[in-house]
Amino acid sequence: MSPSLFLSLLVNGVAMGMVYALLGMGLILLVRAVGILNFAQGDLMMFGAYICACLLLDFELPLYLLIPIAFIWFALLGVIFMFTIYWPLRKATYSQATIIATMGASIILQEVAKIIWGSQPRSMPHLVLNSEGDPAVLQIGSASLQWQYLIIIAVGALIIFLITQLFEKLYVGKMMQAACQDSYAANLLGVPSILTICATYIIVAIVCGICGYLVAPVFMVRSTLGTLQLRAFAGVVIGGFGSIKGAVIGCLLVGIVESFSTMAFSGYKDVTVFLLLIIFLVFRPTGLFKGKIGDKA
Amino acid sequence: MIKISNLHAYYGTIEALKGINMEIRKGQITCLIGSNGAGKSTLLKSISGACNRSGSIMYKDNADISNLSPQKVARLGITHVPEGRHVFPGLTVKENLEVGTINWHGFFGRKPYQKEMEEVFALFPRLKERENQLSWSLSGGEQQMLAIGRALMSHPEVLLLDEPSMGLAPLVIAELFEKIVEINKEWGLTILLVEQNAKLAMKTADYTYVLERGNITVEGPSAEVRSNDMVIKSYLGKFANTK
Amino acid sequence: MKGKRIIALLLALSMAFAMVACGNSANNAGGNAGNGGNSGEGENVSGGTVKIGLVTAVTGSNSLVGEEAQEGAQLAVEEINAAGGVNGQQLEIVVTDEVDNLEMSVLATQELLADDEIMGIIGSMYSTYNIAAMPSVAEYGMPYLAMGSSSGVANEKNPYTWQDRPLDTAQGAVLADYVVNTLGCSKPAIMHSTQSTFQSLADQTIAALQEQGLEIPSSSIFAFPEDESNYSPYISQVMDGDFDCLIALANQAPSAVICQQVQAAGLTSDMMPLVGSTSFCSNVCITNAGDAANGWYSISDWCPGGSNDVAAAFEEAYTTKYPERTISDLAAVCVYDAVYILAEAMKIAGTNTDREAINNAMEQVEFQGAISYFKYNEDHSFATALTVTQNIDGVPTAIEAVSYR
Repeated sequence: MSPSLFLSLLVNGVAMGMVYALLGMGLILLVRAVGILNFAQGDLMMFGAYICACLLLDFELPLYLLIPIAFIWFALLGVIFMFTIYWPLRKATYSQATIIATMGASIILQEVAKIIWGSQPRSMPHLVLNSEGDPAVLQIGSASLQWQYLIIIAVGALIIFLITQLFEKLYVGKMMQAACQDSYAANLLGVPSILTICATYIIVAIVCGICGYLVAPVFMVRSTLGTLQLRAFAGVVIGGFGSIKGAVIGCLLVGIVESFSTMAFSGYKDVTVFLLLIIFLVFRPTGLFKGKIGDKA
Repeated sequence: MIKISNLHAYYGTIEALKGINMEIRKGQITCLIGSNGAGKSTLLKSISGACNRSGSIMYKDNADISNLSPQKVARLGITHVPEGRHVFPGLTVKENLEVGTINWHGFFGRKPYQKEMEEVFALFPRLKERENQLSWSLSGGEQQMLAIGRALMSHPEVLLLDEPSMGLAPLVIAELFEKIVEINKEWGLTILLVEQNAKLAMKTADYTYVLERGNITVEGPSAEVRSNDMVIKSYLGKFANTK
Repeated sequence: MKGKRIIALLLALSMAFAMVACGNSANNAGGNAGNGGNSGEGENVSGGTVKIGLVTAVTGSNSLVGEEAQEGAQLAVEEINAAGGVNGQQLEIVVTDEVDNLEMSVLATQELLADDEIMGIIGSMYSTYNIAAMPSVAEYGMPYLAMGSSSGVANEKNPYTWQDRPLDTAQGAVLADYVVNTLGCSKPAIMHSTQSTFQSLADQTIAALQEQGLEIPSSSIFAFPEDESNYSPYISQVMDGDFDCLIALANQAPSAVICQQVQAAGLTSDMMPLVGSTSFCSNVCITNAGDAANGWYSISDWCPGGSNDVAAAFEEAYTTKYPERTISDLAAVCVYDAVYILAEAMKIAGTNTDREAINNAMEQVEFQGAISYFKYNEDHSFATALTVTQNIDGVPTAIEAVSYR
C-alpha cells in the first residue's frame, strides 16, 4: 500500500469516524438524559441536511445568515421531537415504548422530508471550492485530500470539545448531568428537569444538524442518509456506553476500520464493522472504556 | 414552621395518607416513626411536592405549599433528602455539592458558593478527603453524608430526612446522627426526620409522631412517646428503655 | 380493564381500515389515470374499457421511479386511446403499489392477477421482484411484461413472461466490447453495487471482459452495499492502482454520488475513461452530479431523445405533457413501450378478453419502439440494440447504437 493511499484512506476513515462520533455523542447524551436509545438519530441528521439544503439552495442565504437560522430550525426540530416522541411516553408502564416511538419517528422524518422536498436527491456544493468551482483538494505528495473531509474532522473535533466542556466543566453542564443521572433527586433540589432535558434534546438536534450540513456535500442530501446511524451505534457500543469520550473513540475506530477494510473485503465492509462489534460484545461488552458508573466491588 | 392539616395523599387510586394533622416546630427535630408502608416517605413527598396530595400545608404561617412543584418548594427553603441517598453517581463529591446550590444560584449566575462548601466540609471532613472522587464509589455512610451536605448547600431552613440510617453500620449511624444533631443545634435548622429505627429516632428528636397505615396514632414529646405502652410493644421491644 | 380492551379493539380496527384504504387508494389513483382524456369520446364501436395492470413504487424510497413509470404509462394510454383504442375499446391502466420491497411487490402483482378484468400486467423494474411474482403469473396465465433487465428473468423460461429492455447479458457484452475494442483498455477497475441487479450485471461484464482476453483479479473489483454513500476509499484505491479504466455499475442516486466523489477525488476522464451503467446517463444522475457527470460513458438501454424517430417523438410528447421533467428517464420509456407491446399483441390476437390468445400473439409482435426495434426472441426479450452514450455538457449524447442481435 503506497503512502498516499494510506493517507487517503486514513483521512477518509477519520472523517467518517468524526461523523459517526457526532451522531454517537448525541446518542449517548440521550441515553443518559432520558434513558432511551434514539433510533431516529440518523434521521435527525438527514432532516438537518435537508433544512440546510433548503436554506442554501432555495433561499440562497449567505453563510453568516445560514448558520444562525439553521440553528434555530434545528432547535425547533429538537423541541418538537422531544415533545412528540418522548414527553407523552415518559411515564409509560412499558418502558420500551419510547424506543419504539423513535423507530416510528425515523419513518415519519423520512417521509415528511420527501413530502416537503420531494423524492429527488439534492446536491450541495462543497464548502471549499477551487478556482474552477470544483471541490478543493489539498495535495500532500501524491495524495489528494479533499478539503471537505478535513473540515469535517476539524469541525467535528471542535464540537466534541465544546460539548465535553459544556457537560464536564460548566455549571450548567453539571446541572444537566445531574438531571440525567437522577432526575428525582435533581427535582427535589430545584433543578428544572423539563428544561434541562429539553436543552439536551436541543443540543443533540443541533449537533445532528451540523453533522448533516457537513456530510451533505459528500453524500448528497437524500432521505436515506439516516442509515449512517448504524455505524454510530456500533461505535458507541464498542467505545462503552458510559462516557462521551468512549463513544467518540469507538466511533473513530469504526470509521478507520471501515475505511481500511475496503482494501481487503470491499464487498463486506459492513460485515467487518459489525463483526468487530460482535467481537466486542462477546469479549468486552462494557466497551473499551468502562462507564463512570461502574459496579462497586 | 410547617403546619399540616387534613393531608390526603394518593398513589393512583390508593390513598396513602388519610387525613394527617401535624406540626413541625421551628428549631426542633421532629421525628416520624412507623413500620414499612405506613406512609412515612409519602408524607415527606407531600411536603416537598413529589406526589399527589390534597389538604393544607402552611409554611411559616403565610405560605400554602400544598400545590407547589418540588422546584418551588426547594426555593422556599425546604430541602428533601430522599430515601436511598440518590447521589449523582457520575459526578464527584464536589460537583454533587455544587448541584445543591441550584435553587439560589441560577443557571448562569456568578454567586460564589465557596463559603457554603467549606462549612459542609467542616461538618463532614470525610467528604473533604474525597472531594474529587466520583460519588458512586463512596461507601454508604459517605453517600449519606454527601446527600445531606448537598441539601445543606441549598440554604435550607427546613431539612426533610428520609431514613438516613438505612443500610448503614451502627458505628456509622451513630456518627451520622451526631452530625444531624449538630445541624439542628449549631446551624439552627428545623429537621423532620423519618426513621424506621424508632429508638434512635426518639432519642434524637424533640417531638415524635407515630404513623400507622396512613394515620397518626400517637404524638407527643419524645420522652412521653417512648414510654407509651403500645409504642414499646410495637416498635421498641420489651428491653428498649433499659440500658 | 374494559376501557383498555375497547381502545385496543379500536386501534386494531383503524389499522385494518388504514391498510385496506392504502391498498385501495393506490388502485383508485391509478385506475383514474387512464380515463383522463377519453370520457365522453364519440365513436366507440363496442364501448367499454380494456384494463392493463402496472406494478410500481407509488410510495417508499423508490417513489421517484414509480412516478416516472406511471407517467410513461399514462402517455402511452392517451396516445393509443386517441388513435381509437385497442380493438374498439379504450385502454385503462390499473396501478398497484410495490412500495420498496419484494413482499409488497408480489402482493401488488397478485392483486392484479386476481382481477378478471386485467388482460396484461407490466411488472416491477427490479428483476428479483419479477422472478418472485412469476410463478403466480404462470398460474393465472397472465401476459406479463417484466421491467427488470436481468437475464435471470429470461432464464426462468416462464411462458407468460416477456421483457422489453435489453437483457443485462447484452449490456455486459456490449460494455466489454466497447471498453476493450473501442476504448482500448486492458486493466479496468470495476466498482459495483451488491444489489442483485448490479451483482449479476457485474458478473456478466467480468465474464465478457475475460472472454475478450482480459484478466480480472479480485483486486480490480470493488463491491459496495446498495445504501453506501462513502465511495472515497474505493476511488482512492482505483487511483492508486495502475488501472486504465473505471467501470461503475450502480443505481441512479448512487451514480450521482459516485460521479461527484470521483470528481472531488481528482479522477478525471483524461486520466482514464469513466464508463458507467445505465444510471450514469439518467436524469437523476446528471441533474445532481452537475458537471461531475460530464465525460462519463454509459451503456444504456435508454438515452433521453433516444436514437430513433419513435424515441424522439416520445421525448417530445413526454416533456410537453410533464413540464417539470426536462428529459425523460428509463422508467417512463420502458413502461411506455410495454403498454404499446401489450396493445399490439391484443390487436394481433384480435381479442380483449382472452389472456391465452394475447400471450400467444406476443410472438408475432414486431415494431419500432422507443427503446429499440422490437422483435421476438426465443428468450422472450424484444429489444435488439443498446446505445453507447457520453455525457457532454450535461446532455447524454448517443455515440453509437450497438445492435447485438
